Amino acid sequence: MSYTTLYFFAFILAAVVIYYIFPVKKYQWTVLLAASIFFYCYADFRYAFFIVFTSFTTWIAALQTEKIKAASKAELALKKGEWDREQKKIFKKKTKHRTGMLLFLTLAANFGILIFLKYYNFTAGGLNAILGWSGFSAPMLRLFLPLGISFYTFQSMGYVIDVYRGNAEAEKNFLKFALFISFFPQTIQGPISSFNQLAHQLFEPHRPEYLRFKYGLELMLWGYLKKLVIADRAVTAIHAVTADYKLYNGTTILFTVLLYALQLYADFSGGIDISRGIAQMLGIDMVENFRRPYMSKSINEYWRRWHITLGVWMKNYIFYPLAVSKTFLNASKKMHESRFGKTAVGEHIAKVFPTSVASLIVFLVVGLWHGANSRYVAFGVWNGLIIMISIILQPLYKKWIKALRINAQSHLWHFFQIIRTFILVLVGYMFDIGPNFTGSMDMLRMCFTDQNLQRGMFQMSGLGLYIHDYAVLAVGAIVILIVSLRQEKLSIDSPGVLLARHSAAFQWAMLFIAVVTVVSLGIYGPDYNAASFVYMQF
Amino acid sequence: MIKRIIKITSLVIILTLFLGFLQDYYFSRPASQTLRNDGFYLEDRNSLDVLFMGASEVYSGFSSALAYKQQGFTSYPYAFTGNPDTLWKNELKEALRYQKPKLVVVEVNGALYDPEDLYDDSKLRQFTDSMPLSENKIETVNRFATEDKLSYYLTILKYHSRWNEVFTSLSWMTDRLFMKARGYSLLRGSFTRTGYDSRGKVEDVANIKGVQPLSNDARYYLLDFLQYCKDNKVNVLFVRFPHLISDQRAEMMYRRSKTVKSIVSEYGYSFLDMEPLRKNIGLKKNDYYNNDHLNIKGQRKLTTYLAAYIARHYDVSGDDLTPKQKAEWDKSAEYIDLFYDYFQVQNKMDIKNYKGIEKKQGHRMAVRNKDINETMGLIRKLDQMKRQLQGESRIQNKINSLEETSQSSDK
Repeated sequence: MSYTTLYFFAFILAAVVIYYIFPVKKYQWTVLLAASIFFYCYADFRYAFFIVFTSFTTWIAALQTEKIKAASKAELALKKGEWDREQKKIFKKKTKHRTGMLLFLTLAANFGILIFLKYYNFTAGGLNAILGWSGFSAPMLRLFLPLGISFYTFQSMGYVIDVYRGNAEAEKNFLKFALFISFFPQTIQGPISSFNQLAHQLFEPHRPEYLRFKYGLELMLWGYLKKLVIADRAVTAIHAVTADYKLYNGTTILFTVLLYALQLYADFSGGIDISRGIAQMLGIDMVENFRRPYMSKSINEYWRRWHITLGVWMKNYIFYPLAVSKTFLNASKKMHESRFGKTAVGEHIAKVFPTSVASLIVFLVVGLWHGANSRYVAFGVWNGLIIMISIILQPLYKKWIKALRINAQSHLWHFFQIIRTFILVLVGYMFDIGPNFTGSMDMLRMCFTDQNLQRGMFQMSGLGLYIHDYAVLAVGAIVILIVSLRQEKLSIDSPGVLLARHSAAFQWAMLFIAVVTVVSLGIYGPDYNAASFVYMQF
Repeated sequence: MIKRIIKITSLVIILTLFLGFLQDYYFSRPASQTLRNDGFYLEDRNSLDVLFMGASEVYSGFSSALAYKQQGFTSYPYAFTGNPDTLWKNELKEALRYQKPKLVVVEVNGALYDPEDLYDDSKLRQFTDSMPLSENKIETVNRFATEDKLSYYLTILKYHSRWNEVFTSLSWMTDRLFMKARGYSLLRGSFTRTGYDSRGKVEDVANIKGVQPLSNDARYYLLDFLQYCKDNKVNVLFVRFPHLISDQRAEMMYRRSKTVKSIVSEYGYSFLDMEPLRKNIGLKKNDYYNNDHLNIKGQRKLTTYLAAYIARHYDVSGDDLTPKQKAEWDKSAEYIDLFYDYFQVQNKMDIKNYKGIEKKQGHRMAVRNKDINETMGLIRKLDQMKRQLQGESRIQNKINSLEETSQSSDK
């Protein structure tokens, strides 16, 4: 069910009304579960098997893990006086092995499904290309990706890891757990929530609150403004260029990647705002997923502001385990003890080795998460390399700042950092929009070697957008910039809270203008196919 | 709490009304069809003696205002561009919700189409866009809609992408509001053009022998329509307006119209084929703005002929108008003359220009075809012309009076 149809609004209205009028507050959460099941099956009931499988296996695994741990604890308590230290150590190791094996099987099964559905054809195609000469031919399969599989798989695996680590309690009620996995505002494109943050909110009864409704609706309206007016309008021009970039010159490609930066942010953050707005009306606060990422002063900061929950997931479940793993720590230790490690440079590199390499691996995974294509791998490697290099060169960077007498706290320097980071981000986006790695590199080259403004302007007029569309995009970008600057300055993320600082007349006027703008200028309805949410395919 | 509820409710109501206004006026299709549909719904209930149905031939070729002036019966062209016969039944149903005409005249062009022309969504929408919500509208949408059905009821979903056509939209909005403020269509749904552009050697229909079958779907819907008319005892005259037949497609359409004639005859309905009657009607090549449609000159001639035919063969006398309705129709009759006089000058200029261009460029060119819609601008020009004529008339009367006085004093 698309977010941009009236049927969706009718569904939300029904869900919210039924939720609040449900007579038995203790079981109010069942309304959310029913709505989530309906929402999911409405898309395609065939998808339901996979999410049920993931929910069930994860629920069972978490319960079993807790059961094993509890039994182990009880056994240890019982044998406290009997066993010596060595015996206790062996017993604990056995318990850890059992729970570890259970965790491994759960991760393997569920990530296995994700990897198979997402990457089988990519891998088969690659193998056929490499080994085809020998007669090898892996069959290409017609596979479909269940709705939100990346998001709910990551969310459920995060949960089972948290239970394994003892950071979360296993949920005993399968239906409650199913709600945590399938909660409909987050199904399409996240955010990826942690059990501790989200679950209790889902299961607690809620009463309707005026401010929650007000801010929730305003957040939704802001999301629709970004999605329908800006993102879905820009996508026409982007598709025109990415369909065959060789028809265009470097100026047009550069313009397209800038447009893509706007479109991607508006689409993704717009969709998240709509999801969060709905949840807010239901009394549930979902975590933020975007915090003005283009105002970042470094790539590191960018990934703390862009797709925040994916970054947190990667940090908690891949980065930290890698960085503090024995393998990495031993490697760092060995480097320290080597001749190279005795030098100042070597000492620094040995120290930051675990974090920098772990970062590279994390972003390789991030790249693969985006899709089965060499360009996504390149996207991940690009970001990972920048972070890795910036960690390694950190002392040198500080020296340069000092030597050049740069005031690192000045607005000018911050502005430079923001622009520098944005350019690095744009290079990464080139891998997003190129057909493959080679194509992306070619497009990047053309941005430098094939500049012709006049020809570019002429080409831009043929990208499927009219002058008034470009005007809307320009005004839209300015509006987003102004709002973002206000949010950044006042440290207020909610557009509703930001708006509430003004007079009632101003607020009503803004709401009126926003609604009329979305209805009039939005890309929806039979004339256009509203572009699918960019991250829906994940 | 109460204050808050009132504020929110007020905002919602204002938004709904504003968006509703935008939907109905700003985002509506800027076409003569919209004005014509408005005009139909503005007609007082059960005030029309004759209802015309069909495609663009009808409203370009026939003037209801002139027919009233000449023969005294009221009528309206409830016709739509490229109107396929798939929609005839629902159109008639819709018309009969508001009118009880003594005669329905159906131009058969819509039954002659190939299958691919029968289900065009834009043709459906030009009918449904102006329909108020009713069982008939729901039935029509359910039968023929090919896009999101909600967009046929909330037309803003379909047309909001026209937001940037500010001047066009405001202009049409003004014209529609101007007509609504008056309360009726002064030119009674007429639309035509001033120039002419006929191509090819025009075939004498006497040379077009034989018949051609209708497409299966066209035949099915024609029979469905005929059955509906029979069941509801609707008095129908089927007609074929005159065209300039100069290619194979037009010949095929004519042969198909002969098939329609035999079908409607089986149901006991009359068919007036005006193709062979071009000479009787007095139509020449320069009476057409293209091969299928009469221009302003041709409209006058055809209306004179057809209105007389209807008056002669059918009892459609308009005796049951209220004084207000009669006054309005009399005004339409007055303005139709002004309309023709005004565009006669334009038409002559266009033909003169055309001949000049043809001579200069040495090849055939279409005469500039100016659309004539019932716009506020046109009505104001006609008002001005009327005042001018009245002023001239007063001066002439004074001159006559002075001459008489002078003559009598001489005596």
